[in-house]
Formats: sequence, C-alpha cells, structure tokens
Amino acid sequence: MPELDFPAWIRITHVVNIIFISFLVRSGMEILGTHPKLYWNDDSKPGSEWARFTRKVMPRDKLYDTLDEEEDYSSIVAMPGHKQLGLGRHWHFVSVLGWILCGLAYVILLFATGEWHRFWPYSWAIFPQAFKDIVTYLSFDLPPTLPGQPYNALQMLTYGAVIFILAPFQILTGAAQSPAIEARFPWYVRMFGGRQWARSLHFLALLAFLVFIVVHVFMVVVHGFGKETAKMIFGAEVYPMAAAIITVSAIVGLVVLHWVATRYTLAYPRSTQRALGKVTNNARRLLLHRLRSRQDYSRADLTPEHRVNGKPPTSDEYKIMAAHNFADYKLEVGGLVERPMTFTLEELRTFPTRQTQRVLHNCVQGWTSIGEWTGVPLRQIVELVKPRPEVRYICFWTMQDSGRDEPSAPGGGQFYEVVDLHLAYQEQTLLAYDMNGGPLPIKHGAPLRLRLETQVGFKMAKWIERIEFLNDYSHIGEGMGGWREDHVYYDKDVGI
Amino acid sequence: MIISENTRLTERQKSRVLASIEDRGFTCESCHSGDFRVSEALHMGFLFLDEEHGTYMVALTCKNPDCATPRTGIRLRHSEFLWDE
Repeated sequence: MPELDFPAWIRITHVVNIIFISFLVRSGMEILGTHPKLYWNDDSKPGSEWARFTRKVMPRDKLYDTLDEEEDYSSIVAMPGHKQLGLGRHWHFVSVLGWILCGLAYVILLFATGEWHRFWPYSWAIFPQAFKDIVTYLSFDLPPTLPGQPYNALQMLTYGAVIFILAPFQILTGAAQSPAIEARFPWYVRMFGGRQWARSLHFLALLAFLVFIVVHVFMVVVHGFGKETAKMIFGAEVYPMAAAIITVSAIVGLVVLHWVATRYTLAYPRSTQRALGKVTNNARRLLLHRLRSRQDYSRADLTPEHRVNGKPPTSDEYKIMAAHNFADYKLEVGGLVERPMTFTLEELRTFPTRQTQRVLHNCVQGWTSIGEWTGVPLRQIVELVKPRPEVRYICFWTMQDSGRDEPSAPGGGQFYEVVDLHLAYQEQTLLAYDMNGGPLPIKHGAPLRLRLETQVGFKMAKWIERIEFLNDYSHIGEGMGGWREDHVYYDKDVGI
Repeated sequence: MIISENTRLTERQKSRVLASIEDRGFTCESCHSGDFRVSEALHMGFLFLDEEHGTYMVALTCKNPDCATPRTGIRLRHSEFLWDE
C-alpha cells in the first residue's frame, strides 16, 4: 500500500468540489422553489405532498396553474433567487457538469495512484471501531487514526460513503428526472419508485450532503482548524496559522464569488442564459437529444386529475369557439413548405391515423402526471405539407397571449415554442385532441396541443392555432426559441 | 363519445336566452341580424381568469343564411337563463 497523504490533485479537486457543490445546492433550491412540494406519487396530487416549503393556499373556486404556486426564494438560499427557474436551471446544469468532471478526475486519480486504499475497509473490525469513534467524539475526545491511514475508522467509512454512494446516488436520481431518459428507459425511473420518488430522494440526498458538510466542518474545527486545513492546503500539518488564514480567505472568496455570480445573473440574465446555455445545450444535445420515447403506461397508472400549467386564452373569439365545441377551429400549417394546408378539428379527428399513448408528463417545475393522449402523429402532417430542404425547426403558435392570460409570468405577447424538426419524426410526437378518453379539456390546451414526450412540459404548446416551418428562429420574439426562452430564460432543448 | 365541457340547455332555458337577446338588442356582429338559434353554454367563471363566477358564454348561430360568420355567442349570468323550474 502506498503512503497515503494529501497530494496536490486531492487538494485541488477538494477546492473545485466545494465550489461546484455550493452552486449546486443554491441552484437546486431555486429549482425546488418553483414547485416547493415533494411527493411519493407521480400524480403530484394537490394535498398529497409529504413535504412543502410554501405557505401559499391555492383557490378552490378558480382555475390556478402551477406557476401560481411558485415561491420567490431569497438569493441567500437560492441561485439566483426571485423566481428565476430558467437561470437556476442553467447554473444547476453547468455546475453538475463541472462537478461530475471533477468527480471523475478525482476517482480516476484515486485508483491510478492507489489512494483509494484510504476508503477501503479491509476488516469488518472497522465498523465496530467506527461506532467506538462516535462514542469517543461524544465523550469530547478524539479517536485515533487507523494504522497507516490518514483517517480514523469513522472518517474512512463516512468519506467513502459520501464519495462512492451518496454522490453517485445524487447523479442517478438527477438523471431519473430527465424526461428524455424517462421516456427512453421507463424502467429506469421505475427503479427508483417513480419520478417523484426520484425527486424526493434527490432532495433527501441533498440534505444528507448538507448534514455531512456541517459535521465535516465542525470536525475540522474540533480536530484543530489550522492543523487540519493545512493538510488540504499544504498537503501536511505545517504552517497552521497560514493555513487558517488562507482557508478563511478562501471561504470569503467563495461567498464573494457567489455574490458576484448572483448579481451578474440577475442584472444580465440574457448573457447568462447564452453563456451557460452554450455549455449545457451542447451536453444535452450530445446525451439526450436523440433519445426516443418508448412509454406505455397502463390505464391504471393514469392520473385522475392532471395538474395545469398555463391559463386558457381569454379572448372572446376563443370563448365563442369553445362554446361551439371548436366547430370553427382551423389549424394553419405553413411557412417553408411546398403545400401549406389548413385543417379543421373534424378533419384532424377523422385523419387516417389516430394514435393513443399513455405517458408521463414532466413539468419543468418538477411535478408530474400520467396521461393518455390521442391525436395525429405530427410526422404525418409534416409528410403532407412537405417541408423545404432548408427547414430545421417548427414553430407552434398558440392562441394564448401571455401578458393578458398569464399574470404569473413576466412579459407579454403571443405564446409560441420552437422545436427541432427531427423531433417531429419521433413516434410519440403527437398533435393531441383527446385526453384520457375524452376531448382535450380547455385547461389542458383544447382544441389542440403538442405532445413531445422527451421534453419538459412547456415545449408542448397548448391552444395551437398555427404551425410554421422555419430554417431560423432568431427573428421571432427575442430569438431564443420560444416565449419562455425569451422571457424567463429557459433553455430551448429541454431533455432534462 | 365526445363529452363536452359545455352545458346542454333545455328548451325553456333557450327561450330565456332568446328573451335576453331581445331585451339587450343583441345582434350578429357580421350581418346585424337578431335572429339566432341557441345551442350550448360554456361556464367561464372557473376556467377564465377575467370572468366572474356564474358567467356563461352561450353559443348562438345566426339564422341568416347569408351571414359570413354565423357562429357567435352572448355572455349571460346564471341567473338570467340557467335555473330549473
């Protein structure tokens, strides 16, 4: 066994790890705040949450949507805070990429250098010894390190568990919340007990991390702040005063880094969205974009009351059309196509192909529902209108005016979303007119909505009135690929 | 089977709607006719944030065969047409 100490790579990855974990925790709180309720069921039924971090009481006599449930957390706990889910997601995903890369480098070097021995309990006697160490700590004494080891038995087991169990568990439960992964590998999310189990476990693992960090820092102080931090700065128990000063300075520096990043993010949300989005979008496109949905939930799995996101259009034209059961509805399909076409609802309902799918719906806010959707596969419409060779995107224009219809969302204008053309060819990409065996309800997008099962819910435009084929979307709205991308800084490709 | 979110009206309720149309002097926006066929009513108070409780959009079809946009609607309160006797 090599002599176990604190080589430079351990010290460097330790510092980098602290930076990424601190950003992960705060951005994770931002994501939690957008739907501050945790469930053990994929229906996310109101009132069935096992934990809630909000005092809001929702009305019973008026339609509310999940945007109304969103909490405005302070920037002290959330990154960046103040209901900025889109920006919080950018920070979370950038941080998780950095954290995983840092972790991979650490684990590879751990095994390449033989330093992994520090975490390997060679004897069963380590476990009772760890218990004795706890008793020793509780007796206000310090337990001895193991022979030839830098740690005592309790440290060895705890650090090993955090590195080899807790961290991978956090990555796996995070991945289980990706709609693209859930759609392609439904067994994977079931392995955790369902999507909301994964979300709840992800939160509990976060708490475990926080408990570990608090106890870890406390123990560093108990063992001797200067002496212990010197190991992580100089690699040995030397210059304890200098180590203490450097450590405190580094903590202050970390706080300043967070403060600057938060202020910048809130002051320059668009440039933050663009800069962080470049990193995360490339990773997402590489890992998730080609995954195809293979979901087929049973009827017994259907959610009795699907939650709502987005409020119906309040124009009189829409209300009159709804009162007439959408008899006057017309879907325009045009843009860069050879054959622009118009379809009535009746024509869509009597289309040669009628497809039904039972799938898990993932809202970007974190809640889920399982629904049955029936409609026309989008690829068949695409084949009819024949997009020109230069077409790369499809824009779904809706009847919703966000400024008028959605007071919980900042900004106004016609709601639209842009998706990549290739997603239209996926088997479960659907223009849905029925839900759970009946006509699509008004609150869920009647008369027609998009189902795009590998993406989060906001991309599935509701109340669709027009479909436009494009080779570029930079001229639409703010040019970010959708109303939410323009106004609340979401990412355009949302496989997670 | 299509289950509508709309409420089907009885003949008596439809008569009350026609009476309200006459009282208000409501006419077709397209052809200005005041002659309508009444069909279903959509309860809007719960679904639409700008509508009060007990407000309905009653579907009307203009009887003028030359009307360019015969499908229209009138906003009525529950108390104006939708009670049972």
